[in-house]
Amino acid sequence: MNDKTTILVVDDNEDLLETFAMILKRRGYDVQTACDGVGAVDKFKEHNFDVTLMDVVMPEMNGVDAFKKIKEIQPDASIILMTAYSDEELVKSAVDEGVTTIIQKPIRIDSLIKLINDTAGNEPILMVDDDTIYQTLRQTSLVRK
Amino acid sequence: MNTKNEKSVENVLQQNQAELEAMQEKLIRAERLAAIGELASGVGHELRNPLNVIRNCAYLLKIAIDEKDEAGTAEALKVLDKQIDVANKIVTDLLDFTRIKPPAQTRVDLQKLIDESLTWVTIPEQVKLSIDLKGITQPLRTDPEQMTRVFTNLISNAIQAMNGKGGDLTITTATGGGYASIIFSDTGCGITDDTLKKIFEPLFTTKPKGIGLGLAIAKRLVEENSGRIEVASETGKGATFTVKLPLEQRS
Repeated sequence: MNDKTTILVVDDNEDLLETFAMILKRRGYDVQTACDGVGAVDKFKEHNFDVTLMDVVMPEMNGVDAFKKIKEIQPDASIILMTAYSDEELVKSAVDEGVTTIIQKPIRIDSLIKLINDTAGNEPILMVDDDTIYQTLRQTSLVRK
Repeated sequence: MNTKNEKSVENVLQQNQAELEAMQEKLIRAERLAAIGELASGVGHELRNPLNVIRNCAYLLKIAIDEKDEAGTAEALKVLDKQIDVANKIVTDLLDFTRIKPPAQTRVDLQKLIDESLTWVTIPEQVKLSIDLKGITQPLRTDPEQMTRVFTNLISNAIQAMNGKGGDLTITTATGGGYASIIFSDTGCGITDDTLKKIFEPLFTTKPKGIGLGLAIAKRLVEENSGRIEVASETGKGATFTVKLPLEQRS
């Protein structure tokens, strides 16, 4: 079943991008990569992806703007947004755009695989690492239990 | 009566003074805490990227070892090693900023310094680099290691300002007023007036990733070497950073 799942990994950190891609390929997924939001949107113009694993803070086009554009192309796209940075404005705009589930980063690989498999639905997931923002969002019941 | 009044006025003044001092202390403490918070947040977030890659590498390494995949093991170890350098640089930058060593100045060959600085940066194909150092004929005394650091930072910023689109990076020199100027000009995105005002402040950054210490360190290092660093820019057209170092007095 796994080998049919197509995943797009988007990150401007080349090493993170490559290692995520290698792991997911090893786990039997069909993986493609893009190094920024513009590249991610371009990929969606050519293919549909079951799950997209995307960094939030990137040059050119950030993950939230890319998320909006991808939704226009493929409304049922499942997107996991992830960030090591706590850009409050971006996190808020992600929530405004309909991101309903918050997961803290860094995440263990096995948890990530589970997350990818669970993300068959349309719920976009945002992984954040900043405690303050995490707490604030948890108070507004946005955190996945 | 007068003496009494004077005394009560004095008391009120003393009390006000004490309150003011307490408030000032509170403000300083709050500011210090805010600065520490900002720093911790910047460094913490910056470190999380290499940490995440290390975690991914550990996972890949386990698979490679289980499968006796030697090439895979070597590759994972290589990436792991690189991430230690990435993380180490973040810590070094931070420490360097707080404890800059007194410069160990020697007579330097500018060409060698520029060449050494360029080994730390990858110049993309789209960037045309031209160097003309004929503007300085007198010998220079500076800390070569510290100045290499400054030049590397300026070159790397210039490349980033050209944002993958390419352009011209020009390194030229001039002499005047007892100073040797080393001028780094790029045709990148330029710097807005607001940013120009804060560009050398620690923890100020416009980059999506970074702590905001690069130029703050560069400024301190140049100043430690009795020099000055200046910036000029026009938004959309590029930026010029000039490092001015004192010329060695000829006897």
